Amino acid sequence: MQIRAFGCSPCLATILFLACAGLAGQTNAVGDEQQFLREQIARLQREIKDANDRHAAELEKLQEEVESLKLKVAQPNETAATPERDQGEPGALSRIAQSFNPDISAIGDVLFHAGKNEQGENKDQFSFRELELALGSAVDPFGRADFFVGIEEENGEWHPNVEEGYFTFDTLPYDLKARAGKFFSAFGRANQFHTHAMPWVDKPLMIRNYFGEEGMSEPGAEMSWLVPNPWEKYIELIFQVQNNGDEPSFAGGQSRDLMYVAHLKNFFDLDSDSSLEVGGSLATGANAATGGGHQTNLEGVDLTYKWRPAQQGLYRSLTWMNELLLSQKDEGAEDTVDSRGLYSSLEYQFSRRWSAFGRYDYSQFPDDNDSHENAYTGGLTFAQSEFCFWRTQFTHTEGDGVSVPGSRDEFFLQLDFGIGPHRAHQY
Amino acid sequence: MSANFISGFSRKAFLFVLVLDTFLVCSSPQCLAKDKLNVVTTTTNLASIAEAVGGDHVNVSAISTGREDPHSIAAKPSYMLKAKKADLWIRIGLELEIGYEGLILEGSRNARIHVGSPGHLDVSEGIAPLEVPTGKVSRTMGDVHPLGNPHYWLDPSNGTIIARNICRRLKQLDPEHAGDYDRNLAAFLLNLDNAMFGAKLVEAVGGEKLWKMQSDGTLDGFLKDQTLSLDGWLAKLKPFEHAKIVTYHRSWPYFARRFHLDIVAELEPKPGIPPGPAHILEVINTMKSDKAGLILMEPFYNRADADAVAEKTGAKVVVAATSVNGQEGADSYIAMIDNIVTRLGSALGEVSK
Repeated sequence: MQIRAFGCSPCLATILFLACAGLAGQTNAVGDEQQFLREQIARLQREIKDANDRHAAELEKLQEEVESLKLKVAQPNETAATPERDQGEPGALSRIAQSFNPDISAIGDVLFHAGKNEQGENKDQFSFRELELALGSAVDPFGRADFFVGIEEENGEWHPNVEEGYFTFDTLPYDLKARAGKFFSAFGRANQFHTHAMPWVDKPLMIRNYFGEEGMSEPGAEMSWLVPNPWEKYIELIFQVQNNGDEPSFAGGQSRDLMYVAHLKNFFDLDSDSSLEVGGSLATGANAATGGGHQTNLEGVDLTYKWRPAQQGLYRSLTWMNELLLSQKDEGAEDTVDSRGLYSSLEYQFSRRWSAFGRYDYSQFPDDNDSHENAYTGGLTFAQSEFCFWRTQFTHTEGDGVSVPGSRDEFFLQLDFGIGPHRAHQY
Repeated sequence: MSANFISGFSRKAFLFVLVLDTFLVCSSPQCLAKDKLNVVTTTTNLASIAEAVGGDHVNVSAISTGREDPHSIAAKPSYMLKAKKADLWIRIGLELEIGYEGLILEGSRNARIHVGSPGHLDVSEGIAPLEVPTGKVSRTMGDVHPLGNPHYWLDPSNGTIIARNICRRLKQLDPEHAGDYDRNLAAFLLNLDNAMFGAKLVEAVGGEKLWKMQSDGTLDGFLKDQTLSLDGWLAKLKPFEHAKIVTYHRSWPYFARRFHLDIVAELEPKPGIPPGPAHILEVINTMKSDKAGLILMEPFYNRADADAVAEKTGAKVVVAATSVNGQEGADSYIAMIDNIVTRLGSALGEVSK
């Protein structure tokens, strides 16, 4: 038993030790667990606080966004004005559908005339002077086409007239450009003006007496060259071959031949606000005298000064334009008529919509250098918008010689209006 | 003086000029040294950005001076001469240049820069235009642009798009210097970011992220948690957010949207139509009812109209150029925006006192 007793005591001690150790371990574990739980609670509290903070910040941000959206809704200009390109679908589709259509425009010109006309007859009447239809577009990657059809009334009947219609090759090498079709001859400046682009109601006497009411426009071909030069100035040389169908300088209805026109255009910027253009023109071709075979030679000089201050260009500008034409018309039987015509025009824009102009004309006639006309013109233009203007003009003309009816006074009131995207005109 | 003498003189003078011109052609250098790309832009703003991105590898010139109305530039023959030598023609687009670009490009005889060629760049690509008409466009709406308001360069964020578009095209035309163009672009964008937000904020956050946050309206919330504060243009105009202003022309919606200004009226009754007495009266009433205290306009418009309205309303008139070189100090794209912000901030400060 003793042995058993001694034998048992280490076991008991061991058990007791283990029990105490276990108890102690259990006590420690409970403490750790409590600590762990406390930490967990603290962490959760922190996370809840962070989450609350985040949610508060997000809520504040959302509220700001709502306020911002409310503000945008309250500003129709901005909301309507913020779409991406695709959002304007109907407009975009329409534009795509129209992209192969040419630019089409129509320009109406209504005129009231009072006083004696060029034929010396009293005429106090309205007239729908012209309806100009203009179409233009690229034909292919190599050039574009432009058409200008004037429909005019004459003795109660309407006549369409192709003023110009040409193809422009604008991708030629060596600074060249070519045109083929019907176009105004590059003789000076005023001859090339369309009705709505003129700074006056009518073309200068010089143009009307030598090239007819509409100016000189004939079928033909043109080549022009932008001339390189050490001053780096704009120098353009234009050469045209056209039918000699213009009258009275050339053959008119008896045209069977060609005429040749050359124009040298020099343009200089004097400074950022002003420029000078100096040009020289030559034209030669057979006229209708005694059945043909006789030449008309024309020489012209043009000088244009323009001033348009950059910063005040919407409100102020000035154009001073001058042309001189000399004519030698061989009428057969060793009889060559040397004659001349000129004009000087000043136009001053004094506000955004108003400009005043004056012009002096002197002109003889290609067939009669014993007769001449002097004309003094003044007027006002009111540009209602870029596409519509009103113009009033008074002209006093003095005639001397058998080809003119004598002195006359004329008053004009013009309304010119256009629709469609008409192409800008040359400077 | 006889007609024969005048005629003979005139013909000789013409022939002399012709012969002289021909001689000069033969004796002049036909081509300039092609070590740099010739870039011609329609506006001075584009020229400034193209210069910054192109650096030493480009010769840049603009056909306009920066002082004129960009809608009404005339197609002078001298512009055709500039365009003739261009390797790259850059335009604003959205039909801003519709009145003159076609004539200049055709007159230039330079097929390299025709629309659709690599040498023709429309930098409106990637811009989200404002005020795009959704219905039929008519001239009863004034000089409205069917593709949207073209004054987008006045939002400096769009300045970054313009610069990227130019960089991309320069790299295409001149791949040899692509690395330089990228570096120049990065420098330009950094300068623009710094001017807009302040250099410290840009350094800490990054420009691209700041533009994004400013665009989506989260920048203010973001900055509350930051130790860094806003600087630059945005900080200058921050105190005047939602200030009500009147402008002369509809040139300012992009700028106003970026800097949170509210445009309540324009002096022009419709774009391009000068103000008349009835509309002026309407604007005066609107300004009084909306408590708008400022009229913002470009230097090329008639200040008398704005002064007349200011006299009746007590408003301040701010004249600020929208083009580089349009006003003293506006000698680059960033300086031009800075000039607007400075003038506007100063005037709004006085108005709010």
